[in-house]
Amino acid sequence: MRRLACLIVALVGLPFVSIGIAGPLPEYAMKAAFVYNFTLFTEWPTLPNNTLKICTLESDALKHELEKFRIHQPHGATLLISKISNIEAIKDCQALYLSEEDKQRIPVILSLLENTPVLTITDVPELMGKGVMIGIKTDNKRIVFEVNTLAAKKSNLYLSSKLLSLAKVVY
Amino acid sequence: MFKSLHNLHQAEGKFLLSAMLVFHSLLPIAAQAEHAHTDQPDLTQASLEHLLQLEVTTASKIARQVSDARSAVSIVTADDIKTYGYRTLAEILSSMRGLNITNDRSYDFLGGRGYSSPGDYSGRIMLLVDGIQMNDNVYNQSYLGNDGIVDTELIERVEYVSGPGSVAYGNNAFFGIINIITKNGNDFNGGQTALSAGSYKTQKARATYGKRLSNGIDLVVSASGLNSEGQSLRFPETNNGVARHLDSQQNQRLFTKIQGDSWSVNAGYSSRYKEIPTAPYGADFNRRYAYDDTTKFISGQYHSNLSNHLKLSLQTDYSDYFYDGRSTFSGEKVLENATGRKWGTEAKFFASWFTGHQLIFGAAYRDDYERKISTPAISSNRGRQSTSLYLQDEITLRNNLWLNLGTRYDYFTDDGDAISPSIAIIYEPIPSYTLRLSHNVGHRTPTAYEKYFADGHAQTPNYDLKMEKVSATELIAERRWSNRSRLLATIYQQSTDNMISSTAYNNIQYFNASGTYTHGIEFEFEHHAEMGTHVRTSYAYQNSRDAEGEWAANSPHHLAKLNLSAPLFHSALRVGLEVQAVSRRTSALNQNASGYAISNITISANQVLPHLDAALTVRNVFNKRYDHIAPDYISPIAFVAQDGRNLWLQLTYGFQ
Repeated sequence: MRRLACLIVALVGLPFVSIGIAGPLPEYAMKAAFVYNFTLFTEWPTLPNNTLKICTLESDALKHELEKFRIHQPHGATLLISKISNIEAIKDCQALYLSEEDKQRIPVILSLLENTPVLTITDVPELMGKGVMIGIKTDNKRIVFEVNTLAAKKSNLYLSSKLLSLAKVVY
Repeated sequence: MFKSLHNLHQAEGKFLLSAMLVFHSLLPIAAQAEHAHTDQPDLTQASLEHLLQLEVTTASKIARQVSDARSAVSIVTADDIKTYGYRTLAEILSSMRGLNITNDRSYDFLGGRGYSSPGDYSGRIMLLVDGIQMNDNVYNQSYLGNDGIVDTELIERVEYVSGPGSVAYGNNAFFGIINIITKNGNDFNGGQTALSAGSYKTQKARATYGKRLSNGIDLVVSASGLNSEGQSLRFPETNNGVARHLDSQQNQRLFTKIQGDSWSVNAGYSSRYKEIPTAPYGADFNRRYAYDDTTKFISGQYHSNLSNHLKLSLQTDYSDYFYDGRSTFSGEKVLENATGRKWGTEAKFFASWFTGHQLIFGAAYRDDYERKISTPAISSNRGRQSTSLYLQDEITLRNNLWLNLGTRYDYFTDDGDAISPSIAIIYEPIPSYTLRLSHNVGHRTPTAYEKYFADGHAQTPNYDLKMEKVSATELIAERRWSNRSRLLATIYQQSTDNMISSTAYNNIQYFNASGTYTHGIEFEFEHHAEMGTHVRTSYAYQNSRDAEGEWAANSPHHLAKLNLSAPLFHSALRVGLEVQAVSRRTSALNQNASGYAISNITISANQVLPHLDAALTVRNVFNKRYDHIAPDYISPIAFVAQDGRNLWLQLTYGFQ
């Protein structure tokens, strides 16, 4: 019984140790900031109704963080953050974030978006260089990104040279 | 008699109570950790240049399965392997829902879904590494200890898919499959050397290099070696005899994986020498008895989009297996060996020609051209070939309702043919809540060892041995909360027919017993809290009846697992705590082994010195004495005492 008590104390005690640390920033807050910044360095052929819509599919964590950027007006347009449930609707987005949770649907998504000016961004390592335009990943505790300019060009998107100069890898 | 029953009940009660207490104590943790907040700069105003400078903590997430989504899947990731200091596949599997390992100091045997016959080489769960079947073709054994094909440090994830998987995998995917996915070169991004040392004079060294090259080719190469002196073990059943210095083992491994966009080549080699202290099959006790197991494989995979609606996946593999046994019987040295060689090829198509239908179909051919066992008296070599065809259709009935139909046909040149149908209904009443009802049929052909082996005195062959069959019905409910929490509950029943069993060890012959029956219920809960606390816990109840209707040998009724990890001291350290509880089991001769719970702790630190990571694991922290039920063929030994408290220190140095 004493062992059991020790175990329970250990179990309940452990997480308190980790509370109240300042320092590195939470992943999704950072990723949302990157996604927002990517839209600043991208030019679309047109912005319908002067709105810029950033879409997510399953990743609620990222959507929640993106909401914090709503007051901003990238390219002077109204920023909309939208969670897509009807897959066909991704064509109306300007930027689309693809996460681990969306992995199964990605072949369908990429074929739907062929030659459509939608900036695709992912944090799934396997998808980098498979038709997704920007891939973000963590490298030595910092976020870095890779850009696939060919895929962007095909979809009629112009990515600024500043974005390319900050990217870790450019295809 | 009455007293002993009472004690047993009490023990089970205590066991359940502790499991419940542990579970309850988890819930507030998750809630508290979620509420912890940190001060942070306003990221909505930060420039891209500034963002690139900031440090980030990675939120840990529920890993998504890559295996067939119709079944109940449990996952252990590379992070778990590091956090809990897993050295072998057996240690990984021990932490997973409904699985238990039995070790007889020669091999680790895997039990699941109520079946865990001690010392049964073939097991009933298929092992795959990157999609390639790893069971040898003589004994049909999967190697889970230091004889395993791949170092745990190279594993990206292990998925356990419970239930028959015969449509996709055919012969031997009987009660489930274990799918191991290895890391890519990009995951290492440079070189890594590791040195480790542990109890029982054990040392291990490993060197790995992995990189994704600028031309897109990703490669991993790795080599490792292990040496362990082991223990001098006492066996009460052998007049309290001690097997002196007969527990040592040595292992060497090589592994490589090279992959491009649409292709990959994998190759591996593992060789283990193990001394066996238990004098199996009536060998002389405390005399040298050694097993040498060597496995090699090479495989190539190619994927191609034939059209917008048709994808092709091709796979060809070759593997071989060598076994050498050196023993002493009545003072005479005896040598026996086995050789298995096989190659196979498979073409698998994924078609989306018709709206609402996802078709998977394919054909496979396997040539087990050498299945040889030699003893001083008799040598037999029985090759065989098999051909398989399969088709599966996932039909979307409504946007939250799917029907999955599949069937497979296998033909074996020596065992006839088998048809394995499957049906599943998948329903998502609300998003992230899934219900799955499935019925699957599977089969397993007798192994060359079971059907043809004779040694001139202890074992006779049975050429009439037929394949065994299983059919299982299962209802699975799964709930996810974002990508942080997951709860899985499953209830199943399965019955087998013509179950392959053997007579007692001094007169072994395998035969088709009648059917067995198992029903069970399993729960699994996983939570990743924002501050890095991670909980994975599971409970399985299983009630398995053998062909005589008796409680199946070595089949515990309750299995409970808890894995809890959390960062300590500003994330400088990570601690992983693990508790595994297994209830009472009985042997074929109705001797009971009492239930046990063991606890393991790992403390790991990244960058203790530049580029140097360290981890210390204490297994069996409370030095609990517990036994595993011995296989029949090591009698008179009935129980094999397991390791007491033991340590394992790992140092890993990484460089670009």
